[in-house]
Amino acid sequence: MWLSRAADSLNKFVHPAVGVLHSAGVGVLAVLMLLTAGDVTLRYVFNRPIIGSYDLTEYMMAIVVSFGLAYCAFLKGHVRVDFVVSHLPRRVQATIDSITGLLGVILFSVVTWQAFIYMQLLFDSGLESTVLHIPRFPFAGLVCLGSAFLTIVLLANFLEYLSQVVRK
Amino acid sequence: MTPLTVGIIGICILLVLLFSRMPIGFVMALVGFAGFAYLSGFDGGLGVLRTVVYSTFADYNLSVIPLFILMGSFCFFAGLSKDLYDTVHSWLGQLRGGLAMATVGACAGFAAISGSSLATAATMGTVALPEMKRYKYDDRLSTGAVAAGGTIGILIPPSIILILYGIITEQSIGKLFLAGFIPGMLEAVFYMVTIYLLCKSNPLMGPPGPRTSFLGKITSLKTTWVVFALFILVIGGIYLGVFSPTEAAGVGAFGAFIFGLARRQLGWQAFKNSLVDTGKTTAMVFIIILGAMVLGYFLAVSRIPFVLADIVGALVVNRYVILVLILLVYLFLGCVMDSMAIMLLITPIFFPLAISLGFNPIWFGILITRVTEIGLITPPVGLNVYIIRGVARDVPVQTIFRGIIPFLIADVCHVALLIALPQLSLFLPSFMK
Repeated sequence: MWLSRAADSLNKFVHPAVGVLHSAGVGVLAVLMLLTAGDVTLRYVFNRPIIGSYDLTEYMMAIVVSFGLAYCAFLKGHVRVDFVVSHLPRRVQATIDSITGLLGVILFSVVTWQAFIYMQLLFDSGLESTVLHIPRFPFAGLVCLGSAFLTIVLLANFLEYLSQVVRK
Repeated sequence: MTPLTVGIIGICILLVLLFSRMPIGFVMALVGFAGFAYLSGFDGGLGVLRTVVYSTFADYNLSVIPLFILMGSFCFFAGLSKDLYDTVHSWLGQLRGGLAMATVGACAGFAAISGSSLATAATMGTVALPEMKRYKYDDRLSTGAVAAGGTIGILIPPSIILILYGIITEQSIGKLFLAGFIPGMLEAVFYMVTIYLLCKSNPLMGPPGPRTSFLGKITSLKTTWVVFALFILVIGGIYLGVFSPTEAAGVGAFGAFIFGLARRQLGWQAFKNSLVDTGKTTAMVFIIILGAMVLGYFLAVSRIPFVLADIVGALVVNRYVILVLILLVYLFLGCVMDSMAIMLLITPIFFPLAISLGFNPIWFGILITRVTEIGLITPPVGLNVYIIRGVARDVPVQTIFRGIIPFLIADVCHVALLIALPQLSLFLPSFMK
């Protein structure tokens, strides 16, 4: 079946990348924890807060969240209401999943496209963080990257469902 | 078509898609985008997606969410839930139904360092169910206690659901946390009384366990003091205004991390697992928040929340009747949907209504959170029940649901008490600096 083969090869390509992305994201999360705890400690004990911790937190959050999206979708971990569809025959289930899957692919293709435009707008305007003056566009670019990988994972999921529909 | 008609059609499509197993966050974002684009032009819709995604993800105030999840995750992987159970067990085990009470107590303790109910139910299930089986507890009592006890996590701070409520309604997260404390503790007391009454009427349901010496009781505290320490550090810090909820979350996560290291329970693998798990949950939560944000734009232009508030406001009925109706909507949705999604999905519709009726926003938040969590243990979806079913494979789902009934009665009494006495929720926040 060329459909399930396509889904498999897409998954093979995307799986390692999604893993790397997620590891990088949670690595940043560990740093974010140290930053926040360090900031509070330094402020109260030594009266010297970490300058720009607010800016850094915002940028780190952009990475932590967007780098986990694809991984969560890969594990089919996004919350959904299962109890109606799970009672239907398998092929009907797969048909419904393909339709909603396609909607998901379309939605996040648009989100990725808009995230890309947003990055360009930020690049052109040269917007920076308020305290440390770090440009914002690279982080918008990382959000776009995370969203792009989510779209690819959703596409692989969609092909998988579709192959179940047409399977004899 | 008027914006209102579009809004109603949008909500109908939203419900159909929700029950078609499409991820909830995706549904909300899709309907929100399509509806907004229909009413305000395609470019307007694209404009919302362009800015909202980045501004939702890169939000300083929302960093409280992954950090609190991380704190709970470190404690979970450091094996703290088993220690908690052992401690409460040694204090209450000799009572009739004492093991079930210990389960509820340990759930409340774990709730104080974790914002998630499912993790609590899952760990307590693995720890407490075999123990109760050993002492020949009735399956209905043991599984019911774990399922109900697991729900306490949503109310006792830190609570992810309360954070989401605070974000979507622009209320102080610190105040909400303090407001949840007394109701959460009361909930545990209600469950313990339920267990006591059950075992009193039928002593075979929960035979007494072994007695622990006083010294044994004291030494059992040697590992669990950290729960109190972390809770006091985090919630006390917020209460006294020493730090913001975000900072408290960072400090709490770091504290849990150091604690895990010191106990040598948090090795490299457990550390990695905590992070990976937190990353996944964070993505899951943020997709729903993103969906709620996009949907919020659509709801605002459709004017549904305002029209609803006007219509209901013009009704000549007691405002408490309307409050109960709102709570019933939350309860009904809680039976079929994830509590986080409900909070973000329908609160923007009902919050303006509750405010226009003159209800206190903090108190309203506590009430809807409390009602939503009942959905975790009611059929047909009751997530906690299925998680316990995964742990206790020999107990049929029907038995667990039957075991839950007494706890549901306790739930109803508890909600009635919270409605009757708003001070239970509003007392602590009124002292916040």
